[in-house]
Amino acid sequence: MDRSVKLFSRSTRYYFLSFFIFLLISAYIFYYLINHRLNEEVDEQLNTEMIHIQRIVSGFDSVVPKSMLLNDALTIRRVNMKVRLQTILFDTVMWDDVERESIPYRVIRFSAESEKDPYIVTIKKSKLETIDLIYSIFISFLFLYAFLVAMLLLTNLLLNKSLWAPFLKTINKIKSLRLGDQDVVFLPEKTSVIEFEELNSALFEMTLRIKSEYGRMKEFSENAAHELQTPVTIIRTKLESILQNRDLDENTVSLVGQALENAIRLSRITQTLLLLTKIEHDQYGQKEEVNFSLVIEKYLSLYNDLITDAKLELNVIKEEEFRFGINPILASMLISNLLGNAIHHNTPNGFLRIQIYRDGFEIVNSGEPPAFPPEEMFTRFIKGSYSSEHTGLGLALVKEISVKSGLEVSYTYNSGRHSFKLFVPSKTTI
Amino acid sequence: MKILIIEDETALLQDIRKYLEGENMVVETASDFPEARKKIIDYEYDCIVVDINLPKGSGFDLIKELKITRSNAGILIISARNSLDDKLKGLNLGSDDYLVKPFHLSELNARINAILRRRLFEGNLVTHFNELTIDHRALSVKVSDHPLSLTPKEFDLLNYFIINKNKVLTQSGIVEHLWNDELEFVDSYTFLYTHIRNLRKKLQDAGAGNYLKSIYSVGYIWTDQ
Repeated sequence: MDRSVKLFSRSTRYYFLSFFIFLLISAYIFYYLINHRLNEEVDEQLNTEMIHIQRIVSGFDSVVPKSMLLNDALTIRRVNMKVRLQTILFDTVMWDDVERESIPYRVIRFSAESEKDPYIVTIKKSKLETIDLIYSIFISFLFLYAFLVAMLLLTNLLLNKSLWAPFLKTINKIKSLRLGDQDVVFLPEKTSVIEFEELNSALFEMTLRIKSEYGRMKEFSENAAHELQTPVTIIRTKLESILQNRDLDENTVSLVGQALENAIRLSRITQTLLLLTKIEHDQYGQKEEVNFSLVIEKYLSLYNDLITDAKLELNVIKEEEFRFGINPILASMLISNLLGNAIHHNTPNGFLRIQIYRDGFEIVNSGEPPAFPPEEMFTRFIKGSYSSEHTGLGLALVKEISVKSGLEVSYTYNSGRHSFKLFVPSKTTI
Repeated sequence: MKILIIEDETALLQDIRKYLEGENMVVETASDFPEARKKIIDYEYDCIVVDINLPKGSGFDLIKELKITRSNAGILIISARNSLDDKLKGLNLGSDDYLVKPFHLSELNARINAILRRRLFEGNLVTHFNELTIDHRALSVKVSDHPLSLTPKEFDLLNYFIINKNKVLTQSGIVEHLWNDELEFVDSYTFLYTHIRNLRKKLQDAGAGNYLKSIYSVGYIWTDQ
């Protein structure tokens, strides 16, 4: 089944289906048993009546019992021959002129002998009552059944909530777990249900394993970035020294220059990775109230030459001051990256618009459509074209800083307009 | 000028020495704490370049030592640790500047020159390069006694070229010098090109020689040879 449904609705659906099948089977058995029993009862009555009539006819009795023959049609026919007729019981249907319907009858036919003559007696007993009885019993049975099913489902619904509560709690806990958090480990809560207990302890074990694996991975990449620094520095310096050799021909100088350019890029990448790690490790924990308008102004003046050079139309709209508790260094990195990005990915004669609100700001710039889906904008090493100047980590840095500082960052692209929004999540403003 | 370089990475040490010796500086080196300590006690230097992470000790202790002995040497910290704390601590202890590893040799040279200028000549220094005269206090440039009007960035650029004359300077090295890390995320090379074009034009219009040569796909060299 493609569509996913709640466990409860699925179980209810199956319950209904199975209840319906059980209902059909049990209704049939019930009807069969009742009918059989009532037929037996009728036959018994007819037999009793037969004995009475035989006794009357043969002269033993003279009084017909009161209960007898009230609703029954009795036919007595004298026969000439002295035939011994076998007693038979059978069903028949006869047209009733009064009721204007066919009425089923149970019939007994037997012979009764007086001293002189033999008779054949037929007693017809209407089965209408029996059928009425079966009908009403059946209806009550249905009502009872429906009531039971309803009660069962209601109980199930009520139980469902409390029974599955530990499970839902577990799910919510897993949802809130984030790799890279200090306490990524799932802490199981006590539950009296063995299955949930097992689930919880399995999750606990699993998250422990994940944590240690993740830790090892992170340690590795950190160490790698750290250990790479010195060799890269030496490569850079050696290449720079080689460049100073005046005997080199033009081609060699160009080759060495390119090698140096890439060594510099490599060292920038390792530095930025280390920086990301530091932010992740809360090494920029100290927060102060930062007025973002001032930080934005500072970087705009720093980038002023660039903005005029690219002939960008700059527009800063300050609706209110945006103040936020954040590490000042991180705030600077955030702004320099976002503004730098907005200038770099702009088009000549384009625009750069900054709007500052009470709880955040938005940076909008003109530019070519992104070469990758907007949701991947903050992924590490994502970029439109290879460029040796950029690490491809700038926006990853923005994301990391935002997450660590409790800001929400989002990116949208709409017909030539790139928009980065940074806001205090609405939950904390309320 | 007598410079002491304290750095434990000997491969790096050789290159720094070679580069600075090419600038007519007398360079001594030390690759661990005791050796460095002995040298700063025994000799006088004009500038000391010190790494913070040293075998058998910390560069910070060397700076403290220098301050206790009331040394006149300028102090430039070089450290791989790109942390604000280190930088503040170093500057508070009385060092003159802080350079983060990895750096360009040309940048190190420019920083040392700036320190020497401040220390020895109290900033009041005039540099000459053929017909060019650069006044570091007035931040002005003259071409054969005719004043040249330069923007602060252009002045900085020209100064950087002259300090590192006859050296191949890479684009990224120049960009890093002019804008530090601030321009890491923008298209800085085309931007640099604009500044260089303007500087060239101003020098040419003022009748200065064509000393600034482009090296294709690498950078620039300032030379009269």
